[in-house]
Amino acid sequence: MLINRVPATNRLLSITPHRLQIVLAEDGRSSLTLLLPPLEELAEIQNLSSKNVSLQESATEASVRLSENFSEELKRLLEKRERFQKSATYLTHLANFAELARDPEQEHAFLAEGEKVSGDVFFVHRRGANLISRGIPKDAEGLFRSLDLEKDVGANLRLAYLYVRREDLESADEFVRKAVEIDPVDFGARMFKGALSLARGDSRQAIHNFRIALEERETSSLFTNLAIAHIRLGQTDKAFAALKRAIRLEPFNQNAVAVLADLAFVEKRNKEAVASLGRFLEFEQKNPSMWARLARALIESGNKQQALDALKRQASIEESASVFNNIGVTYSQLGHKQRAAEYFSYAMRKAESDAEYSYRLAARNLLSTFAETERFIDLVTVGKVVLKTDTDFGFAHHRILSDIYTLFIYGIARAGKEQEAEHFAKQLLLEVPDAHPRLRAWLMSGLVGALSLKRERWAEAELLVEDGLKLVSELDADDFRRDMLKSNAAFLYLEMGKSQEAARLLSEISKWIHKEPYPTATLGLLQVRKGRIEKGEALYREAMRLTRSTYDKNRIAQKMHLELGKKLIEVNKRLARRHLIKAVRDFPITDAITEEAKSVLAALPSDTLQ
Amino acid sequence: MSDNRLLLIQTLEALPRLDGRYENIKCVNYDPALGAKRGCFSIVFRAHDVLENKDVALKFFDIDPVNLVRIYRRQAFEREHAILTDLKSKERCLQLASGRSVFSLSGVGPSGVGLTIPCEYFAVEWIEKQIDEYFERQQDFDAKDKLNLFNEIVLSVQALHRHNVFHRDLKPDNLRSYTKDSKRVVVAIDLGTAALFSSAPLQPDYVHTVGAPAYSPLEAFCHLAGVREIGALTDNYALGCMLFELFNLDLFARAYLNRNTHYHFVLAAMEHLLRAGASIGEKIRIWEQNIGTYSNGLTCPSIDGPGSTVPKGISSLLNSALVGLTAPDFGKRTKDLDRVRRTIWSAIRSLENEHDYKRRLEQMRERRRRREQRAHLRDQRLQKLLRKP
Repeated sequence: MLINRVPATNRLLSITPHRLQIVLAEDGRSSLTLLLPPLEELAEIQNLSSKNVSLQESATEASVRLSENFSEELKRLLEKRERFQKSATYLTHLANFAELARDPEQEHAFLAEGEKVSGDVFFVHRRGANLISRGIPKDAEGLFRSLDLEKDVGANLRLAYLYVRREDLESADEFVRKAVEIDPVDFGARMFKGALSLARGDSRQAIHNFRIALEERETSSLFTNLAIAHIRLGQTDKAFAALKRAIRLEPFNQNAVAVLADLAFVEKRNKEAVASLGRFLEFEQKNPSMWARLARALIESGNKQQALDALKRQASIEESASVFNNIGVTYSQLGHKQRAAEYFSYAMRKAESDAEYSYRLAARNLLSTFAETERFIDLVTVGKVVLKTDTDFGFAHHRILSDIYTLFIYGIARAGKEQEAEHFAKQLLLEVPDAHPRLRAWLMSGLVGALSLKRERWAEAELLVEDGLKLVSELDADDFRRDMLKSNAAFLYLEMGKSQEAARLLSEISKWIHKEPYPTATLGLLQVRKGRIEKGEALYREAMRLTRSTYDKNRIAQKMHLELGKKLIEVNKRLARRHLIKAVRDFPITDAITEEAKSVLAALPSDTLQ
Repeated sequence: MSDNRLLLIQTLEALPRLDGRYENIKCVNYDPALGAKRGCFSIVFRAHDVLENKDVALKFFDIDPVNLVRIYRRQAFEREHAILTDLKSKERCLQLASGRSVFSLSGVGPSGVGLTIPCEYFAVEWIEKQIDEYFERQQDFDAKDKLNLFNEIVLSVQALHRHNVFHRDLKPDNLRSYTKDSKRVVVAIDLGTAALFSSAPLQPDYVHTVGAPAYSPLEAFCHLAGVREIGALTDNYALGCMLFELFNLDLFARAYLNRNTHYHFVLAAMEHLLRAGASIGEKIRIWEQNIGTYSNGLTCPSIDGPGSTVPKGISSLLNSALVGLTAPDFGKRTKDLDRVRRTIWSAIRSLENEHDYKRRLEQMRERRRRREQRAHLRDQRLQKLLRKP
C-alpha cells in the first residue's frame, strides 16, 4: 500500500530569512513540455515592475535634493565669515550646512576651527562622530579617549560603539557600564546596555535596561529591541505589543515590520501583520522579501488571491526561483493545479543550478502537483531526473526534500508497478537507515499496508510496525504520518486477527475517525470483524465519502465488499456473492484483494448463483 | 551670472542719480567673489534718496533671461509691491518708499543691434540693523536679551499675520531692527515670497519649498507650500527654528534631522500621498488622514541639549514653546502667537527673579561678611585690651 496519503504543496513558501537586527545606538530543468513559462503572466509581471514605488529611493532623492539646497545655504553663510569667524556658533552652523550638504571633509574643517575658537568638548564629540562616519575609527578613538571618561557619558558610548564594531563586546561592555554609572537614566547608555545584554543572551537584563531608556524617550528601534528580548523569553504577547508600538512610531522601520511578520507567521497570527506589511509596501514597493512576507501572511490568513497579487509584485522586482515557486504554491492552493505545475517548472528553470535549494523545493512541489492531478507517468519521469542529482541521499535526510522520495515511490505504485515501488521502498530503508523520520515513517507505513494483505509476510510487517512506532515520537505532533502509521498497523493487526491491539491503536487516532478515510475504514473493518456488519458498512461508506480521489474510494469499496462478502456467507449467501462479485468486477484495484475475493467466490456453493 | 543682470548692476552702480532722486547705488544681494545671489527674482540695491534724505532699498526685477520667461516670477514681483502697498503705515511692517517705476536699460544684443530692456523697480525703507549676530554669536548674548529679541520677532510676524500677510521665508537674514523711543523694533524684510491670504497661488502645484529649507516645515516640501490656509503656520514653524537657534550651537534643521533619522522617509511618504490629491482641499484631507500615522515617531530636539546656552530654570518653558511651534503636523502646530509670547515673558520674568534673588543673596552675603569683619575687629580690640597690664 505504497499509495498512502502523500505530502501536499501547502505551506512551502520560501522567504529570504530576516536577520534580527539589534539596534545599538537587521537537471531537473528538464525536457518536459510543461517547462514553457506562462507567458501572458510574465508579461503582466514585467509591467508591474515599472509601477513599483520605492520609499527608500524617494527618501534618498529627497535627501539629495535637500543637500543641494543646503550647499547653497552654506555659500551664503560663508559671506558672513569676516563678521563671525571667531564665533563657535557660526562655525557650528557652517559645519551643519556642510554636513547637510554631504561634505564631511568640510564639516570636519569647520568643527576643528570651532574647537580651536571655543575649546568646547562639543566640538570634540562632533569631530569624533564625523571621523567615524568617514571610516577613520582610529582617529575617532583617539579623540574620545582624550575626553574625561570619568564624567563624559557620550565619549564612553562612542568608544563602546567602536569596540562593538571590532566585535570586542567585553571592552564595549566596560565603557557602557561606565556610562551607566555616570548617568543611570541616560537614554543612549541604557539602550546600549540593553542591546549588549541581548547580544549576550541575557534577555531579562536587556528588558530592564530598555524599560529605563523608554522612560526617557520612546523610539521605534528601542521598542523593536524590546520585542526581540520578549521573543527570546517566549513572551509573544508582549513582543507583539512592543512591535506594534515600534511600527506606530515608525511605519517604515523595516526591521520592526519584518520581525512582526515573522513572529506572526510562527505564532499563526498572520492577520496581525497584514496591515503593517501593506502600509510598508504602499511606499516601499521595491523590497522583494517584504512582498514575500505579505504574500505569506495573506495565504496563511486565507486571502490567496491577494497573496498571488503580492507575489507577482515580488516577481516584478526579482525573477528568482523562489518567487516563482511561491506563485506555484498559491496557484495550487487556489485549485489551479495546471498553472501551479507550470510555475514550479519555471522556477526550476530559473534556479541557478540543480544544487540550489529553491530548485529542489520547486521540484518537490511539481511532483506533489503531479500526484494530486494523478499524472503518475510525469511524476515518475521527472522524479527520476531529480533523484539522479541526489547522489549522496541528501534529499532522504532532509525534512522537506525527503518528500521527493515519498512522491516518487507513490508515483511508481500508482503507475501500476506496486512491486517495483515496494522493492524501492525496502531498499531505501536498508541503504539509508538514518533517513529523515518523516520519510522512514511513510515508507514503513506504506510497506505495512502492502504486506498486510499477504499472510506469508505478516511477520515482516509486524517487525516494521515495531520499528515504525518507535519513530512516532520523532515526528511533529500534527504530522499525518504518525496517524497513518498507526492506522496501517491497526489494519495489519486486524488482518492478523489481533483485534485488541488494533482497537488500542485505533483509539490513539480516534480524532481522525470520521475525518480521514483510512482510519475510518479501518474502524469499519474492526466492526465487521466483530460481527457488527451494519455499523461496519456505515463506517466504510463514510470513509468512501471522505476520500480525496476516486482511486482511494474504489480501493476502500473493494475491501468493504470483500469483508462484507466474507462475513455474510453464513447469513445470506446470495448477498455475500453479490458483494464478492463487486469486489472482483466493479472495483479491481488491489490485486491481492481481487484474488482473495475470487477464491472465496469459487468456494461458494453453486445454488447461490441464482 | 547672466549678461543682463551684470549690465544692470554695472549701469546702476555707475549712474550718478536714478530717477532724479537715488544716489550712491550699490548692489547688496550679489557677491561677485562667491558668485552667490540671494533671492530668486530681484536684485536689491542700497541707495540714498535725496528727496527724503534717507537710505532706501531699490528692488529691481531680475532681468536674467530665465526669469523673463517665467511669468509667475514677474507676478511674484508685482505681488510683493501690492503687499507692501497694503502694509503702508502699518506698525512693525516694512514700508514702501516709492511706487513702481521702470528704468530703461540700454545695451547691445547678440547680433550687435542696440536693445532696450525695461527694468521694473520700487523702493522700500532701508533698515540698517541686522539681527543675525544674535544667532551667529548666540553664546555672547544674555539669555534675557535673546528672549526679548525673540518677543520682538514674534511681534513682527504677528503684525504681518494681522494684516493677512504671511512671509513664508522667515529666517534671521530676513529680519532687521531699528530703535524707536529707545525700544528695539524688529521688522521682517524681503517679502518676495510673501502672500496675501486673499491672493491666489501663483503656481498650480508647489513642488519645492517657498522659503529656505532649513526653516521650512514638512508640509512645505509636500506640495502644500502655496496653500493660503496654512501659510501662517509656516511662519510659526520658522519662529520655532529661530527660538532653538538663539540658544544652541546647532541649526534646528540639523538637530531635527539628526534626532529623526527617518525624516526623509516620512517626507517621501507624505509627498507621494499628497501627489494624488487633485485639489488643495483634497491634499489637505489626505494630509489630515495620514500625517498622524507617519509622523508619530518624529520628535523635537530638546532646546537644552548638548552645546545649549539655555539657563536650566527656563528650559522646560522654552521646550514647550518649541515643541508647539515645530510640530510636524500643521494641524497641531501652535497657532496662537500671543500664547508663545506669554511663555517667553514667563521665561524672562523667571530669569529676572533669579537675577534679583542672586543680587539679594549677594547683598546678604556682603552684609554678613562685613558684620563678621566688624566682630573680628571687635574681638581683636578686646584681646588687646585684655592683654594690657
